Order: sequence, then C-alpha cells, then structure tokens
Amino acid sequence: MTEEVSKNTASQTKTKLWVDILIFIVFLIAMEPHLSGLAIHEWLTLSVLSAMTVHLLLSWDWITEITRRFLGKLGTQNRINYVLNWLLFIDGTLLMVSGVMISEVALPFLGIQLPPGFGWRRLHDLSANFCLLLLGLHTALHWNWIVNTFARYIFQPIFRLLTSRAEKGSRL
Amino acid sequence: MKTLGRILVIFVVFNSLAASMILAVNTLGMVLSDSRGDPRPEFRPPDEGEAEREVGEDNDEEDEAQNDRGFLLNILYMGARWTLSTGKNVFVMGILVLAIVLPRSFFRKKKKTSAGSP
Repeated sequence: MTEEVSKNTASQTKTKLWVDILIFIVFLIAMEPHLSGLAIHEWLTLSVLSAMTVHLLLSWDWITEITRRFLGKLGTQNRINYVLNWLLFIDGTLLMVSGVMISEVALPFLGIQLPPGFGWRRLHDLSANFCLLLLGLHTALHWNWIVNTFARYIFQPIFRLLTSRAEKGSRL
Repeated sequence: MKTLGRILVIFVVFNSLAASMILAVNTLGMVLSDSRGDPRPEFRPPDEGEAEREVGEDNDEEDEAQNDRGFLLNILYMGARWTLSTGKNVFVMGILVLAIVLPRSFFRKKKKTSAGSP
C-alpha cells in the first residue's frame, strides 16, 4: 500500500479517499434493503458501479505492477492483497449479477424482464455476506493507508482550521 | 484515451465473469430441475403492509392523530433497526480489522525492540 501512496498524487489520493468513503456508505445502506426499500437498494447499487470503476482506475498502477510480478518475486502481503482483491472483484460481480437477475424495480423500469432463475436470491444473500467478510479483510489490510490518509486529508485540516480560529479569537 | 482503454478492460473482465456466472448457474439450475422434476417456486415472504391491509371506515380526527403518532413511531423504529443492523455490519468488519491489525502491530513493535536491544 505504501507503494501505491507514493505513486498516486495528492489529489488522486484525496479522490480515492472520498470514493472509498462513498462506497462504504452505499455498502452499509445496501446491506439493509428491507429498511431502505427495494428501489433505493437497486438504484444505489447500480449507480455505485461507476464509483467502483473509479476506485479500480485509481489503483491501476498497483494492479498492473502486481499482475506482472505475481509469478515472480513478490512480498507476501502484496500477494495476499492481490488474491483478496480478485476474490472481492469476483464476489462483487456475483453480487451484482444475482441482484440484476432478481431485480424487481430497476430492470422492469428499464423495460427489461428476466426469467426467474435457479437460486439467484440465495446466491445474492450468500455473496452479500461473503462480501462483508472480504470487505473487512480488505479494510484491515489497508488500515495503515486509511489511518494515514484520514489523518492527512481530514483530521489535520480540521485541526488546523480549529487552531487558526482559536488564534484569531484570542487576538480579538 | 488511456483511461477509456482501462475502463474497457474493467468492463470486459466484469462482463466475462458475469456471463460465465449466468451460464454456470442456469446450467446447474436446469440439471437440478431435470433431476428433481418440476422446479419448485422460490419462497417469498408476503409484504408486511399487504398482509395487514384491511378496508376500514372513514378516518376521523382521532384516527388521524393516531396515524401521525404511528408514523412517527414507525420512523423511530425503522431508524433504530437500521442503526442496529448497520452497527452489526460495522462490528463484524471491526472485529476482522482488530484481528489483523492488532497482532500485526504487536509483532512489528516486538521486532523493533528486539532489533534495538544490544
């Protein structure tokens, strides 16, 4: 992850942080469809595909580099990270596909009717639970990056703003 | 142009995976339904609202007040339920993060102290 930070520019890192926060919030809302309602659940998850694409694009250098070096010399952490990311991608795809196959709002709205298939609902539930576990592991493996980026782009600016206001107040 | 190419690669990989999943699940479904006979309909729980909906008399003021109170209580109930279930998901992720981050930092510190000691 440190390699990734050094390769990305500050604005890219900032964008990635906000995109990740957005994906995380959408994931939490999407995990409770009976509370948010089916329409919000379906449209929100379909629209977050673009955020996922941005996330992948911002990690593109890391992905290509590790893909090239995967069979050669590579650190254990990078190898585990790479395999885990692929699992997350496959599981995310299954989650999306099964969601589309059982769609009751978004696809009928677009005029698309799919025939009921074998066990898509069960697959959707299963892949959602698996996604929660994989996302937890993904977060854990990137914890240092999350802490450092939050500190640099969220906590430090807030702290600077508060201290400058306090200084202005004491001068007056 | 470079970005468009990358988006195309992501799109192609995503679609190939999706197509193979649909093919695999549908084939498995057909094989299983052939061996079982007629496919069983999927179980779907009835909508909560629909099950309890009844034709009632005209609403008077008391009913309206009760409806307002019920609406507020419903919102509060939904909010509490959403908080609890979201908290559960965050808790699961937090446990995983703790299970990986804590031992990692512990071993890193141990390594540092053993390298620093004479």
